[in-house]
Amino acid sequence: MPDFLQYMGNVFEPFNFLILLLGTAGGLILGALPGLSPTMAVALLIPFTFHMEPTGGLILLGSVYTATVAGGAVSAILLRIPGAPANIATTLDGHRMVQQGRAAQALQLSFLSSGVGGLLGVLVLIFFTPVLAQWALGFGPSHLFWMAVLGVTVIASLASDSVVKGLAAGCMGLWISSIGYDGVQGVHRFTFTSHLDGGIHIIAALVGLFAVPQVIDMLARAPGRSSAASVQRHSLWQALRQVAGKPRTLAIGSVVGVIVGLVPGAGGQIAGLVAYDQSRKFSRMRDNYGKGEPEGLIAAETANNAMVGPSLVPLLTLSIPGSPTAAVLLGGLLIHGIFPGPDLFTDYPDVSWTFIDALLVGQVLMVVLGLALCRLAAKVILLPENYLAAAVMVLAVFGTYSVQNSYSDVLIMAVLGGGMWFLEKYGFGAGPLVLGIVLGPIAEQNFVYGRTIATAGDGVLPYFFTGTLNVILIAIIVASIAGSVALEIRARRQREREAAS
Amino acid sequence: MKPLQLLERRFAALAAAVMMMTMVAVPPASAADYPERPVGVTVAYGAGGATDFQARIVTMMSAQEDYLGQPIYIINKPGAGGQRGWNDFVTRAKPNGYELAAYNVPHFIAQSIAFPDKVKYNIGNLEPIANWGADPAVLIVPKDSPFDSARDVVEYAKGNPGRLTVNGAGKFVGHHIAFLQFVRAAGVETTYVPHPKGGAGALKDVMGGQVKAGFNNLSDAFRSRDNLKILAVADLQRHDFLPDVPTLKEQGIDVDDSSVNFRGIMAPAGTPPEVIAFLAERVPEMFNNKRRVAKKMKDGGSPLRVMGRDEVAAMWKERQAYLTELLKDLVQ
Amino acid sequence: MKRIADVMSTSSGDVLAFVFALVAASASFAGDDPAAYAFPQLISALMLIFCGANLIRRSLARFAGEPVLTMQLAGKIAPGGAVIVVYVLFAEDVGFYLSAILAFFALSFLYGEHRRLSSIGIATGAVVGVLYLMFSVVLKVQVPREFFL
Repeated sequence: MPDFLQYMGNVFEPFNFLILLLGTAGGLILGALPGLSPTMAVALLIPFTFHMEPTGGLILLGSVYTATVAGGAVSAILLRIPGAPANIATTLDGHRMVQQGRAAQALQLSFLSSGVGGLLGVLVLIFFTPVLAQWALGFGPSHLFWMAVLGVTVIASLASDSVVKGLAAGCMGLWISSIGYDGVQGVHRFTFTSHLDGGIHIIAALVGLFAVPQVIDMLARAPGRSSAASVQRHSLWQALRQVAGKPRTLAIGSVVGVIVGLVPGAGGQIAGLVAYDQSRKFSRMRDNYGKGEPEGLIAAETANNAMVGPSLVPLLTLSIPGSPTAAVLLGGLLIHGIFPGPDLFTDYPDVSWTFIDALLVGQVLMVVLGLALCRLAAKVILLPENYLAAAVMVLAVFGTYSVQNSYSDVLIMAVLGGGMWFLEKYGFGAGPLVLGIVLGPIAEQNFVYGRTIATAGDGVLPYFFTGTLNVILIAIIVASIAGSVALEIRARRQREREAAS
Repeated sequence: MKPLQLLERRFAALAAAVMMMTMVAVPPASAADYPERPVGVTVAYGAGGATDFQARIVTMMSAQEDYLGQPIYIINKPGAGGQRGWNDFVTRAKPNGYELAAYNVPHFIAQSIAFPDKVKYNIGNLEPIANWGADPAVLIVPKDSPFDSARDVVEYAKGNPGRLTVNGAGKFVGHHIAFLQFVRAAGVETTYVPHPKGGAGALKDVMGGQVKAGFNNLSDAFRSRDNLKILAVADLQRHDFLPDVPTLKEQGIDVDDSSVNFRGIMAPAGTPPEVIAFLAERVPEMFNNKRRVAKKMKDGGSPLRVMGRDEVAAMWKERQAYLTELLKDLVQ
Repeated sequence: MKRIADVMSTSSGDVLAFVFALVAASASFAGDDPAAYAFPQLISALMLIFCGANLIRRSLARFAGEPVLTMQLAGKIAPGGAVIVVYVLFAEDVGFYLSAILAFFALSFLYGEHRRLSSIGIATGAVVGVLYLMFSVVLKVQVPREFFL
């Protein structure tokens, strides 16, 4: 019997299961609120696990992590405010579906595909951990640099108005990301006020760029209810069939999520966007992406959750946290005297396997609870917009503050938000901007880091352009750009044809 | 751009007004009653990081009557390698004993030397209370590396000037100081590669062979000792966790303990002397709690080293003088 | 009135973006450490190119664009915008919960349909109550409090 089944019973002990249930439900709610990210939720819960048994503490952290990632889709879909950077791609088709009255369907599809991706991710964690850990170590600065560049190519897909505007917005994001103290080079850049010393935190940016413009738009429409003030019923059975009918989308989403999750420091944030972009390129429905196409939603959510399990591989086997959330989990493990590393599963089999089993069961619970809450959650958009706008604004302030206990972040959030409202009116998208802010540091820092190593070695060009992994990544980038160009040309031809006829 | 500056001034004015109002409304509680409510400790790094979880462990017993008699809560203010949290602390914390912070030496001292116009704190406007931990830097190489001792590393660096890559968590942190000392003592020319993701990322890249060597935290390297080789400790004596690993000094490379990452608690200057005296007496006792604190620290692989207020004050002064000299070439 | 609406048209957005790019580029090229400013310089140069191309495309189209911010819309959002600005500027000094109560009440009153004080009051109490439960009780976040709680 495989090890993980042997310890499955521990998860269902009354106390452990209760924690799992509470963690999943609480995580869904926290994740669904704008401005509350998985990292923050897990970080704020660490002190609680302090006084618990290691197993219970880990189950709580694991279930909250799982559920907040999935819950982030709720506000992304309903309000077009992503709960975490991972959910940006979810807003594209998800919110369109809401505007078409398909809120219930969008939430159902989102939870179901989250479950598929999440389960696959945990299974990868269970069966391939030792192999993948070594593989993840092989990723150096040059590869991370190319992965960031691959992320930048996605911008073209996000630009709704025109590609040039999308690229301009992406550059704005990349430039904004260079504000603040840079620990690698030991310099303060553009910090004309001390509020900017810490740089632009991604959550502050995300909340500002998405939530504030939404609040202003809601006020502009108030009083009354949103244009999408109807929620059509949608049968769960149909939703299941729709998800099951998209094996290719599920596969693309899972593979992208697993790979991006595995690589330490790649910023799992972009998994959803990359999967969305790739899935669009391979899809027959590509012209519908961005117009409320369920496939886009499925791709994004599968990838987001597929990332969760693999993102723990470097942490559990090498004691190396690959993502901010994993770094927080490491603290939670060490407090209980559990040292992650190659011997983790032999030294503490009961704790570690129970934790992983809890992740597995947590994925299932997350889907069940999420689906049960769907109808209720969808009703949020039926609330009068004055209340909705006021609540989102107040939450934005509280949520942004609690990420780093910093009021500077709140001010940054508000300034970026006000600016974004104008930019959005002029056809510049928030998506490319946030993507730029996420990818800027990964691209720059890894380039600088890699260049320093390369200068001491064989030179910069061979370091970045030779080696199997570099070549594969560059090939994917070239293919991705070619795909985008082809899509663009096709779309233009079609427009011309339509104009002619 | 201007509005933000304006805004800052506006804040300062308002904060002053509010402070005056509270001063009028509430008579200052006498220091003799201290503490009568929970005490906050600012940690300038994120939740779950080494400084954070150690701070949570060493302050967990503070509610006991023998110690503070009031619980301590932790506030994380990460950003800019600690600068944001500490800047905020010296500019905003009220010197009343209820707002304390955790320090990391040599980080905050090195930053105050390296960025005199950006950093608002220095050893002059902070009062040490007590030290709880010391985490030396260790010299590590990949598991399959040809180097088996610090001497091998020096030999290679001498034969291949500039080709040896050594990584660490960032600039002006313990690892960087250890590197600077190492290079100076061994008289070699090598390349320092600060890692964008801090100590954990740097450790990963040594394991993966992306760089030839690295300076990292003893506690983190100790946990990963099966995946790399630990060649030397940058401290005055060997460490209990790794009794077989020699110091750099033993291997003929004259490096002292200036890079050791000391962690402890401090108060803003201006805190009433009675409060400081109270804290300086009780806090070390709290850190020394054998049953819970020492055990938890040991379980977590975190070296405990308790030092009283006077000892810490002397250590700060010594570091200040040494680092000013060591960093003078790097600071414009 | 019509003139202001014209100023806030789509093409003026393109001009504003270009101005932002100019400011970013001049700040980047003013940096004294060439290695540390290489990335912002590269990015701001690209930004200038894209924003410039966008501007040229717009002027070739000889189309001023739809008015984006009409006087009517500006008047509609002005009071709410003012509440938000005041809220963000003073929340830290007033205390998070008291300022949240005031801001929530003001926004939902100004933009409410019926403006029944009782229902707005109940909503305010409920939302701030949930905030308190979540942040102060469950997550134990130390939010700034001055006069209240």
